[in-house]
Amino acid sequence: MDKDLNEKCNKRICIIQGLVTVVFVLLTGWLFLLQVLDINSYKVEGIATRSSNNLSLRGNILDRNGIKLATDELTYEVYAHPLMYSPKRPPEILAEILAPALEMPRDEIISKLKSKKINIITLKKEVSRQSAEKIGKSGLREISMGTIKRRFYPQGNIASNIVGFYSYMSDNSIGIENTAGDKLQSPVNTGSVQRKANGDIIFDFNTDVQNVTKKQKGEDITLTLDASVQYICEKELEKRIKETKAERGAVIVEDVTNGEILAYASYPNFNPNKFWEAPMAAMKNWSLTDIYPPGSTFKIITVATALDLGVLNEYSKVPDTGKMVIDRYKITNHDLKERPNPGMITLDELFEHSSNVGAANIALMLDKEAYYNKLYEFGFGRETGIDLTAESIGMLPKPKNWYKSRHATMGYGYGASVTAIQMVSAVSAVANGGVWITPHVIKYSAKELPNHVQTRQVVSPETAKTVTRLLAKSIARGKTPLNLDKYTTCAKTGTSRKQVNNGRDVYTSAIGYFPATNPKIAIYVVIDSPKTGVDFGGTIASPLFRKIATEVGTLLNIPSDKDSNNV
Amino acid sequence: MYKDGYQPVKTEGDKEILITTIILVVIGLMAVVSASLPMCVAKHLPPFHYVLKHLIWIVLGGFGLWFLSRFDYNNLRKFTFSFVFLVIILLLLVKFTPLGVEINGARRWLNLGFRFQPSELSKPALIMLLASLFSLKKEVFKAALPKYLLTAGLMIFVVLKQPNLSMTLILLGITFCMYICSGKSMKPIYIGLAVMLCLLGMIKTNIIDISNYVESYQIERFLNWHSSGTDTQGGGYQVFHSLIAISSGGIFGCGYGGGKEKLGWLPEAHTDFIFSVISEEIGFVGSLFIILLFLTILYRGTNIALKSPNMYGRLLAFGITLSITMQAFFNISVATSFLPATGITLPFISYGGSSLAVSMSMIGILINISKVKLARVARITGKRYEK
Repeated sequence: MDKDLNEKCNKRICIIQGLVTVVFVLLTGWLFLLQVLDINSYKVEGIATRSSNNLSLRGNILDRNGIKLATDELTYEVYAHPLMYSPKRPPEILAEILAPALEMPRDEIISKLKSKKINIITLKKEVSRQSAEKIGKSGLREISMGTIKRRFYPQGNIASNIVGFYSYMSDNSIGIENTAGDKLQSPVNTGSVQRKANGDIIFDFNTDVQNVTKKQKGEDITLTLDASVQYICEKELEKRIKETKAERGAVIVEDVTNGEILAYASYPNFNPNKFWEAPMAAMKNWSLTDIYPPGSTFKIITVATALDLGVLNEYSKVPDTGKMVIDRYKITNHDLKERPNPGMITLDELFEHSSNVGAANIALMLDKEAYYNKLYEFGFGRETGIDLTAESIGMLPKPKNWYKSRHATMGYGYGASVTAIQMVSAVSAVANGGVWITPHVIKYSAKELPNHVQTRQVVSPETAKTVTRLLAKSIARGKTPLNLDKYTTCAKTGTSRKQVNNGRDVYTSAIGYFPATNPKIAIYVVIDSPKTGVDFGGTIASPLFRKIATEVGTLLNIPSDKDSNNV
Repeated sequence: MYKDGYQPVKTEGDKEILITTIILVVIGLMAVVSASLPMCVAKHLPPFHYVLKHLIWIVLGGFGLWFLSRFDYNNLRKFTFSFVFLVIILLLLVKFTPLGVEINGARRWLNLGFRFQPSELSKPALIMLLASLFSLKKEVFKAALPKYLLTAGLMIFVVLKQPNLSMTLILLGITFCMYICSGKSMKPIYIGLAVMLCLLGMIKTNIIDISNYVESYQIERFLNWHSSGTDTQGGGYQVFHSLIAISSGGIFGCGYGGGKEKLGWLPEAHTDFIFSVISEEIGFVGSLFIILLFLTILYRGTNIALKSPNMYGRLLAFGITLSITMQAFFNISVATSFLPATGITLPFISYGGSSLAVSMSMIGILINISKVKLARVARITGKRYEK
């Protein structure tokens, strides 16, 4: 072997060895940057790529017959990735493939596909499952889809003020969605789990095995509402409000025997599928949050209290002078012109003519403390405990603050301010043999019931029966629309002046229950500030009461009692 | 004849390179266990399906190593041409007969009851061919040049047409380096580089349409190199997940068997991207250790080459060393997105039997070469090596 060549060889081998070493050192440096310093933060990106939330669904909200009022819906979003367009499929051809599935005009898709400034183009949101399957089958690499869950309210506005809404985006809710939220929500929020490429969960030391394998759907909630009754109430209420150009209104239908709310219509309402478009005033259930003087409908409670406390009996007569002045406060009957001085009137006459002076006189006969306690027992001045949010306690002044005038006006519903639900539950107590039951909209199982629904004997059953008889008598005699064709009805109208707009606006209401022989259904109708028609409960609220009562009687198949006149 | 005071001496053979190889093979076996187990379970195969196959290849490779370390490498010279033609025939069999198996758009495997990749054999074949060629005396060299170059060119062309661009590049790299090391004139190298630059310029200015010569996916891969962050679903998917795996490892890794990217996310986790799996599980420490092991092979191999008493042994040893280290470098570079993606295995470690067996056999040749080395010897005690 040639010595020089040998030397030359060795030198070159060493140079190449050196070069290879250098590239290996460079590689190691790059590896150090990647692995130890993580310059591109691939570690976080990796966790994000592997992680995904468990698809947990909320339970449904059903009416008492199983009709869905709220449910979870899966929709799809379709994206395009401009970086992955292949020359084989330019946007024009892609659009051709996608147009039928997306139900979008081809040109619109092309223009969307061609917007190249972003990496991901959202082609369409809320794509149905069928369309998504079609797109999935076409196997386009540059198109991807995401699953989005959405709370969906199949009945639209129906019962929106009760059911409320839930937003997955902000985890926000009102109404039943809020009060029953714990149950509706999937029992455990497993958070995000790292997964294998095929979707299996990666179990490592930190994985809570029990959590991730649990069923990811919340409980269904059944309401006491009857969607059909609810529908009638909402439709009729809205019609009446539009006829009378009123501001707002509410209709509550309660089963007096167990406190279940069968319908709770409140106007204005909103579309929970687009809750973000609804004004605040429409989203709140005003009949639950706002208070107002109940007016003459309160006389039922006054008379019941007086009877129960033994101050009066069924056949007592009370003085009615047509008008009276207490502490410079004038109390007048609304029919003062027709009947200037009725004299002593019976209790059924009091109801029939809605005598303010008579009711004030009864109130003055009662002891302040006893009267207050009874009212408190009836549920005024405190929450009824209905399973809805933002309930007001109303306004029932303490007896030590009762001046004589307030004591008197309390009798015909001006001294206290109430919510609609307080009013209907109090009257339901009278209908239900004196037993007050917490009104509720969620149907509870026998086990849960005692925790959510309280009952208390407010007045004796005899008193309740007496009041029922008196009311039925007053209705049967008059020619009021409250006198139903099929049922003997106990009802009372009411009108109270609003303390705004110079007292020109009024709340008109009608409350009642039927059949009088065996009370089953209580209905309360209240309309706020009607602008047309006569400003009395009798003419604004009564026709609505009549319509709803008739329909409810038919829908719930309540037997007629008109022939068996044994009241 | 030899450097002053240096004489060829018979030795036991290089222990270090043997130990390094064994360590690499053991690491490879463990890595294949970790990377292939979840895949086998997902595919409903027996859990140790790939591990057992890997073990069989280790045994075969071990036999090759043992045999070739005892078989005098100077005798390999006689078999050079028959071996090269055998390889070419096998390559043609892959390309043109139903025995060839196509995976992921490349027809590289031969199905003889077991899968075998003949292009792996083209490495030792080319090294043997070139070592024979370049160790020829000047006068003979010119006469023999066309015959040798044609044969080598044919083999490289068939490999390129498989298509197997990465192997072609390695083969060309080996040719290039071995030519330089043979101490021949540098003129052809300079001319070659100039031609390459011209070609590149022409491609850049679209005078030559590159798509006529290389497969479309090869261009795509090149374009996706270092834009992997943006195209995470398509061509850059593999590299993206490989980078995730490597970065997730951190300094000490998440522990053996604890890697998450191998669970279906990283394709080819047990073969081409096994380095990513090791990086994720053992961390930077593990990656560094593997790189150091390959550097050890580079240094020991070079050492053997430098101390080989004849030119053939020297070129053979350096060619083998280079082919192993270059392949390792390419593989790790691809996994770390240091270079564009190519499908190439990590020697000794990746699952892929033929690569393992061929690499181990080549180490056998290296050890055989190291058995006779030049050493500074005292004339009295030194045992003369007589050819």
